[in-house]
Amino acid sequence: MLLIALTVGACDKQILDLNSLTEPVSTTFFANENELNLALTGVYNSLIRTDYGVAYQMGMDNGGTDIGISRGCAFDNLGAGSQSASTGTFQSLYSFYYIGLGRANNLLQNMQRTKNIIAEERYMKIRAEALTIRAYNYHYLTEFFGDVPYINFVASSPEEGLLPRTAKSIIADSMLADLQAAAVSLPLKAESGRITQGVALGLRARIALYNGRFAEAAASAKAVMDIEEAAGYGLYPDYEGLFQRAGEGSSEIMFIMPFKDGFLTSNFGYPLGSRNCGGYTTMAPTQSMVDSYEASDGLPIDESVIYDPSKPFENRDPRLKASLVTPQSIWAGFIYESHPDSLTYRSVNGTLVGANKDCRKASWPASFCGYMWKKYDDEASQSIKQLWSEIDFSLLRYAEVLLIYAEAKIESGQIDESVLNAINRIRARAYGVDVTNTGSYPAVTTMNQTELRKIIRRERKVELANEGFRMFDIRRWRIAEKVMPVTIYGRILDEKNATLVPQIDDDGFVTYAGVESQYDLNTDQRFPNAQNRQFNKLRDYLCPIPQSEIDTYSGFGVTLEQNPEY
Amino acid sequence: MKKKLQNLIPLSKPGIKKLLLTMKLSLIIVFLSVLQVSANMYSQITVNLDVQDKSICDVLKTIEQQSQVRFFYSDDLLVIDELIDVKADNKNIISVLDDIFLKSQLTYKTYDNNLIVIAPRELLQQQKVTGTVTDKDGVPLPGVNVVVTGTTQGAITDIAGKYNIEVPQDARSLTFTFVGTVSQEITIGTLTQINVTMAESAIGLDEVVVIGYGTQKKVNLTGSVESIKGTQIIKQPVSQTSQALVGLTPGLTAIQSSGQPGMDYSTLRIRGTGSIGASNDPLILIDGVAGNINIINPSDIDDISILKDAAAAAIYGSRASNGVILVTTKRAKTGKLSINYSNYIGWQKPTGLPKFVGALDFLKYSGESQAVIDEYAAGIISNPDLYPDTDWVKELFTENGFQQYHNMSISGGTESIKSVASISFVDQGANIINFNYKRYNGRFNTDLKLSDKIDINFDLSFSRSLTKAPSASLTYITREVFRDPPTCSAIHSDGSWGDGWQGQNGVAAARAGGSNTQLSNYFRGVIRINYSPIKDLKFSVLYTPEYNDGYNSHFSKMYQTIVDWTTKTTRNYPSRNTLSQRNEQSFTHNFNALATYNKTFNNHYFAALLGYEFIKYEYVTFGASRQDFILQDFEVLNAGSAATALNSGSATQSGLVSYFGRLNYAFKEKYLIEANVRSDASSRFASGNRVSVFPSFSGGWRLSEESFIKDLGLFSNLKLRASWGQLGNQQIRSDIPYESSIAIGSSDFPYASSIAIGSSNFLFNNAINTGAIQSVLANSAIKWETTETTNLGLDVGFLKQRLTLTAEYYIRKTKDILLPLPIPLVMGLSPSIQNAGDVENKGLDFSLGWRDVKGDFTYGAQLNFSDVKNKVTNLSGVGPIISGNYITEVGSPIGSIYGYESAGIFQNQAAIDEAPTQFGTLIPGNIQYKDQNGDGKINSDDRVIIGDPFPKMSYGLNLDASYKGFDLSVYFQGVGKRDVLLHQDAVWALFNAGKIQEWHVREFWSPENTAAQFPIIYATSSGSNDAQICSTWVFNASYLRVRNISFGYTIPKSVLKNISVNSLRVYFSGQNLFTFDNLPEGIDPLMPNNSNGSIFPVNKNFNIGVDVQF
Repeated sequence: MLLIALTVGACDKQILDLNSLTEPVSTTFFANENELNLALTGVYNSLIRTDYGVAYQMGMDNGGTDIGISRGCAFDNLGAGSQSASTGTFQSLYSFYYIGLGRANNLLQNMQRTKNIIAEERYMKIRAEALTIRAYNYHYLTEFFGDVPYINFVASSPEEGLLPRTAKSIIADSMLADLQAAAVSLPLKAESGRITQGVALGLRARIALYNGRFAEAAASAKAVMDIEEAAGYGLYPDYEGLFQRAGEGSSEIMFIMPFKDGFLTSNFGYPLGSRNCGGYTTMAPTQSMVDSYEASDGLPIDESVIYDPSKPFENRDPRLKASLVTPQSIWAGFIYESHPDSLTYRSVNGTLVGANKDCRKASWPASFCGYMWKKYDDEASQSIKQLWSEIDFSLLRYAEVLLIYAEAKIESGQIDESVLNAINRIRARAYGVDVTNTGSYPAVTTMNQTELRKIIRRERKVELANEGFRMFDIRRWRIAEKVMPVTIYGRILDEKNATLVPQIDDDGFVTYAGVESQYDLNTDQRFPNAQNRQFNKLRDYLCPIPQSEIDTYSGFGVTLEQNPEY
Repeated sequence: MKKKLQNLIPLSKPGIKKLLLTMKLSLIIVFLSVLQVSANMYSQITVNLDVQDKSICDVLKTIEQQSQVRFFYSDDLLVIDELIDVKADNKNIISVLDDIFLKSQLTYKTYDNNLIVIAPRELLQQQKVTGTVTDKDGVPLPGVNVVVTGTTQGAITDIAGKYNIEVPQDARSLTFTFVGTVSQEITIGTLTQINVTMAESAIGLDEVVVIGYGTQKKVNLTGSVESIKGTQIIKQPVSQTSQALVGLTPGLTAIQSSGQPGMDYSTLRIRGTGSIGASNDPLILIDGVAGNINIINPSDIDDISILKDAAAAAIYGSRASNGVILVTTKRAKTGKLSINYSNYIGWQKPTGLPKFVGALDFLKYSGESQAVIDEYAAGIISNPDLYPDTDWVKELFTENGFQQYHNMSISGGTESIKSVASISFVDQGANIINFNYKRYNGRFNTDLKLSDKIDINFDLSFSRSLTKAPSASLTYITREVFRDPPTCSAIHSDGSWGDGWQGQNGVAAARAGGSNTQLSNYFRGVIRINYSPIKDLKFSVLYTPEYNDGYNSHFSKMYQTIVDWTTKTTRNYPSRNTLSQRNEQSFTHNFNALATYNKTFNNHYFAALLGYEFIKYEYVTFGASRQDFILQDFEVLNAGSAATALNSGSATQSGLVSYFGRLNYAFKEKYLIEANVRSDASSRFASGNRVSVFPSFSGGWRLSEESFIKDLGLFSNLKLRASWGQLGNQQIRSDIPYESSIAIGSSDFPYASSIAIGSSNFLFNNAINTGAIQSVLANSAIKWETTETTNLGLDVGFLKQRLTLTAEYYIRKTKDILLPLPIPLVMGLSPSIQNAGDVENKGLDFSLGWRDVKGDFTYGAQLNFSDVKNKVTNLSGVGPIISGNYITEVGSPIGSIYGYESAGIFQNQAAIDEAPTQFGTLIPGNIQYKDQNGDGKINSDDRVIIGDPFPKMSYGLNLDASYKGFDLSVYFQGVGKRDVLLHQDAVWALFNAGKIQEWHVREFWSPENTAAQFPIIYATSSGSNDAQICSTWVFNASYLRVRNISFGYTIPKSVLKNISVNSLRVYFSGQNLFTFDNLPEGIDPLMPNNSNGSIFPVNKNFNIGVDVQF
């Protein structure tokens, strides 16, 4: 008996000294190239975030800006001005970006263990990819929160992580430097999803622009434009198709949040899709978005003579119908109609299909303003009533680089042909014609800075709609306090007899004074943040530092400063 | 009558001689009977005789001369001079005496001290009494002590329960005693056969209870131990044993919150909730080895012990901080084989279901015009497919909830080998189609006796359970059914599926949406070798390999709904089908070696236990899935699209090594002392923090043994107990995957910062690339949570233990609770767990019992009551932990309900205008919230604690009675206070386009019903003023429930004797039959906290059964 006990006792170590069967531990990781590659993929993974089943950037546009409306996405509170330091969205976002930063820092710091065993080119490329994603995370973090704690190392104890906020401009310096360094080590072309030189430089241009470093922005954008041919960039000829299956992997898409069945599918059908196809249409464009598309003469609709309010969708910038599903247009095999009187809907060939759930009267709250986004609303999936899609979401495309270039040059007063060419290439593509074919599209010809600023802001609003740019644009242009606290209007109800046109100001802000009566006001109280949007200009240009983080700091006896008015 | 004593040979003690001289012969014989009657010593004595015509008297004298034997008789005996012939050649004295007295009126009796008494046959001859002792079920009881009352003269029943005893002529009665039964005294009179049925005693002083690694007499307990008999479990027709524990003992809370077959087990808590982050589940040991109480056959259970305080549980060290439940399965008794078959069949019904208003009322309260309603009313009659008036609940709850249970067991054997074997089957349906639970159990418990020194227990048991449910989660199905408006179709008149709410049709999902099948197999072998080299010393070694495997097949099928009845357009829902299959296997080695020593000398009793134990656990799982099955009748992966094939897998392991010991000392069974210690080492901690020691001390004082108490004649038992001890909690992650609570830290290696592979992938060139990330900050300094318990107890028995009372008070402090204390988000890692928090539970357990027998009428009552106050005492200075609608903060109970405090209902616009800013635009009838911080607006900062979800003042009352063949028992069970937060579709009217319950109409505010407690019926969605978590929706879920009524009749033996049936009982048993509570109509008081209404209600059931023994 004793013998048994002793024999077994000798095995105590075998019972207790166990290691995980599934995972390596941090102390031994980052030991070889395979492990660096695994970790780098983990860094890329930090780009992925969905809200209501789609890329979260769409939620930013619809919940938090004037171009869209949303019910149930994480940014609704920004639209309603009801956010507070304890709103979960901000803790979640703040944490999300720092997790991405932490992964990048972990790789960047610990990959040094392999410096002597990996080919330098390979080593530098991995480093460059991680640096780019680190900058990408700081970019979002600083745009949302302003000054934030800057961390570029792995904190080994909570105390080391209690960093104070660093000025946004200082962080911008680091981001720009990192991206500059990264670009050197990155290839011109790579497999899809992988960061290239163009991506690093394109993001650098964007970050510089957002931080008012116009010369650097222009230079970096120019650097991308210089490698357009070598890297194979271009504008995809079909603007509508660019955001459908056809445009996937096109020369225009430079950087993506990838979606694929079995990996991650975009459940676009719920927030964007038609209710007749089983979706909910809980993220949808507003009337002011519709009214922001120029008439086809290149003028805002309140200036254009060819705009006819009784035919509001005719003679417009083709991007209106390419980006939005407008009433009476064909969508997914049926004729879309949202009018409250249209209780039934018809297929393309005119046969009656059934009760029209895209009509608010038949299925409350169907598309609130009477429109749907077409962008990223995968029509091939919709036509088979499939609510999921594999279309990648673009995080950077060549058209944006051109717009950054133009805006940076305009703002820095260096207006030349290259600026007009950049804008006109985008406008020509919208009309499906070559940039030189100025008779077929409303080319921009003015060299006046003020005029061009108006144009470039309109251009960004329509070209990049529903891609997640508007939230930061209206903040950096300081127009959020004007465009946000407004009543949201729905479509014109009695189109045939409509005569009035809303007013559009220099910032592209659409107002409806005196013309409200012809629009669908939709006063149903069940959707309160649709009616009452708020914006506190002293507070809302920045999001609140999460209260939980301030509490954590104070738990350690350290003060973390909150943004004003929160 | 003068008597002469002659030839009384000098006895060694003169005193005795003198005494004998003065006594009447008959008295002497009685006196001698206290001496040891002996035959053994005479077997060696031989005599040589060859006499003729000599008096008996002379012959006896001759014998005395030849041997040491002395005869004792009276000269008055006339026949002593009778002449006889005897011839014996070296013959045994006994046979010689037999010859001598063969024809005589006299006879003899042998005693110790070579003394043989000669007396008339009628005086010396003892009466022979025989009989059979059985238990109340007619099963023979071996080992029953039968003694002549007032003497030590006795016998023990054999394996057939038979005894054979010679009793002196003047003996008046026999006393029958047996462990765990009421002692009986039966008058002999002229009877020569006395058959006795022993009745179980509830609180017999001799009762033995199972404790950690052993047993102990209940009177000698110093810790807090409750005991539940197997009969109390099997009385309740439930398939999950944990469910049967509800309300049976004080201090054990069993909360059942779902009626879903296979998922209708109870969450068990012993004396409150001790931990915040780690598991709060008690350690459950089945025959000494950790296991799942819900997968064993209830009929196999002999006994359940609940170790509540540290003194009782400390021997289990690091696993015992939430208390320990010891389940002991039945073992065979020596005796002829008996075969038992028992069953029940029954039907289940929800205890409550919400009732919803019909389509017309729904339209009315949704604000539709009378014209629309009138049109709809006409439509319901003429075209119900276009104008549905769907009773969703009725469409879903269509089944009769049939359940059945069968158990067959065989038991018996000889001294050297005996075994009990059983096979059982339970099949539990539900009131919703496609839900079912089946379990097959087998057990084979064998005891082998190799020699007086070595015996072996050899057990095998298996279980296979099959839980079937629709593919769509229960939450989904019930949520849809409890919210989809009556104006949506479930099933059309032609049998096609209605579109429900945007394709979501709970009825279709349950019936046609595919299935989710969980299959669990369990197999355990036990070998325990007991070796006792000398009396009082015993060694035992146990090895138990245990194997679990689980297989899950989840097939989500598409079904077609008619989107529009007019055009018959259809859609598939969900939009694609998916089959996922998963297999998991675990293997556990359990080994322990024990040495026990007991010694009683004079008034001192010592016991010591030393033990070693190790547990090693290994787990591996893998899974695979495919989508897009063109032919969805073929539920195999190969039938799906190869392009969608995915797979996954993982593995883990853990180990525990322990040394432990116990010392007991008792003086005169009056003063009792016990000490326990256990040292545990766990693989879950870094090597430096691996080992912890958990001690406990306890003492008891049996005042009833003190003469000053005894003299009062009031108490049959009076004992004071006190204990103190420490316990640990290493269940950072649950050991056993089938246990429900997986707490923080999903790893068996919480101290290491592991790099997770495969959870952070990315697509390059549209192909999945594997990613690796570190997501948790490492903290190698973590160690055990420690619970320190102080317990004071009082046991009182009156009236020969017919009335008993136990009262206990305890303080249970959990320290070093492992908490993920917040770290700066800047670090980009999730916080590691740290030993940080303290929680305190203070409580009272109380039980009162009465048991009595009046002839054929036996009855008893057992009342128990317990209450516990839970308080977080320390969170290491870090702010409250808010998790959804719960908050854990210092000074309040763990997980208090957190929300707005209602300040009533706005009665008019003026009140709205004056009030702080609420949520959105308000109308009279909306809820007003209290502005706690006075800043003029209601926001999340105004939330306060609005309830404590843990049940308070739990009580149970168990009544039972039997008369002749009839038996009746009634269990009541209830909770004096419990706050339950209900929200969304459970209680909010028209929430997110949901529907209206009938009580909403009666109890919600309206201009005509301004005193209402609840707000106006008004369409709400997340964020609406009336759709906030607030005190209005915290209900008092106190209740009293008639938990079980069993009524049985045992057919008299006289009727059965011709059909070779030993006993036959038929019975009715009903569970959860009546409930008294304050909740709105259709809401069961066991509705889980934070419920949004999507649950499977608890069932009531009605059963009939038989119990036959052959």
